[in-house]
Amino acid sequence: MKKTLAIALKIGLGVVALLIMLGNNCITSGNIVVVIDDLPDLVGQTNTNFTHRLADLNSPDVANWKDHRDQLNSVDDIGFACKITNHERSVATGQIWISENKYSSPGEVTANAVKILDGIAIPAAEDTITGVTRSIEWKESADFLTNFNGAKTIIYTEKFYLYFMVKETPFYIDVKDIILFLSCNGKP
Amino acid sequence: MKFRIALLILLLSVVMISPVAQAFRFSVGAFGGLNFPIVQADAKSGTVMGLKARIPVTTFLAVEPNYTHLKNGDGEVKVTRLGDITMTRDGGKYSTFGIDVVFGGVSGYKGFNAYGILGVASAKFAKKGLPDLTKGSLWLGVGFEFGITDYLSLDFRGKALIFPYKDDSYSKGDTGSRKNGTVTVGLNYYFGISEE
Repeated sequence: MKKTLAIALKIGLGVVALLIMLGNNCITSGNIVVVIDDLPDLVGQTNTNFTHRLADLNSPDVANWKDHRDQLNSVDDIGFACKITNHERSVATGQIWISENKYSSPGEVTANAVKILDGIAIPAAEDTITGVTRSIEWKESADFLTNFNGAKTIIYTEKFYLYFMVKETPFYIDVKDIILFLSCNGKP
Repeated sequence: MKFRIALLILLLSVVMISPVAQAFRFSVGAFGGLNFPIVQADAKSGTVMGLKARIPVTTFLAVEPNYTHLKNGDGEVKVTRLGDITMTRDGGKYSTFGIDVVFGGVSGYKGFNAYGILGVASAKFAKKGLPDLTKGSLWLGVGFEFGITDYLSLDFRGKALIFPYKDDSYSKGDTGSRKNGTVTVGLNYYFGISEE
C-alpha cells in the first residue's frame, strides 16, 4: 500500500511538473472570436473605379480585439461573410486580398498583396442592373481560404487593407454586408 | 517522427518488462463518447472515439497505447450587423496517437476498479481551410472500470486533452493551447495469464 501511494505521489508530482513546464499561459489560454462588422459596403467596384476597405482592429467597434490584444498568443483562423453581386454578363471569380499597404488598382494588388480568398464563382448576370448575388457565410469561406500563414502576419499589424475584386477583367461588382471573423488564442 | 520512435521504444520496453509480473494480462478495447471544448468560442461539443490496449507493468501500474479521434462541433457566433443571425464555422478535429500511464486498480478482474490517467500523445489538429497542426500533447484524467467477468469489462473515463502550440510568426505571443474534456464509455477484453 505504501509503495502504491509513493508511486501515485511521484506520478502526481510528474503531472504538476509537466503543467509547470507547459506554463501558466498555456493552461489558462482559450479561444475567442473577433468579429469585424463595421466595414462599409462596396458599391460599383470595377477594375477602373477601384477602392479598398480599411480594417483597424483597434477601432472602438472591435471590442474583442482591444480587450484581449495584450494577452493574445495567435490568430488561428480567418473567415469572411459577404454578399457579392456580379453585374457583368460573364461568370466572375471573386477574390479577397489583404495588405498593410494601400493600392489603387487591381494590378498593384495582384503584384503586392496576399490573396486570402479565391475561387468564389458568381454566375453571369442576365440583367446587368440588378446583377446576380452570391452570399458567402463564415463556414463556407473556408472552402476558398488560401495563404493563411501569409495573411495572419499582416493581421498582426492590426491595421490593414482589404481588396475585393474579380479574377476576370473587366469586372463590375458590389460587395455588401462584409464581415471578417478572426479566431484568436489568448487569455479569454 | 522522433516522438513516434520514442513512443515505440517505450512501448517495447514495457512489453519486455511485463512478463516478470506473476500475472500477465493485457487487454484491447474500444471507446466512444462526447468531447467538450474548454474555453473555445470557435468550437462546440462533439464526438470522440478510439482504440486502446492495456499492458500491465505492475499490479497497480499499466501503460495503454491508444488512438483517439475527436471531432468538435461547429463554432457559432451571432452577427449583430445582420440582425443577430448565427453563423457557424467548422470546429476542427484531432487525431492523437500516444501512450497513457494508468495507475491504481488496473488488474481488470471482475469487480470495480478506479484509476488515474496521465498520457503523452502526438496530436494532429485539422480544420477545413487551414494548415494541419501536429504537436506533442498531454492527456489527464480518471477512469472507473467494472469487470463484468474476469475477461470482459466496461469502463467510464473522464479525460482532458491539452494541445499546446505557439505561433512563431507572432513575436508578442506566448505558448497557448486548445483544451478538450472527454467523457467516454469503453469495452475491454482481457487476454493472457491469470493469477488463478
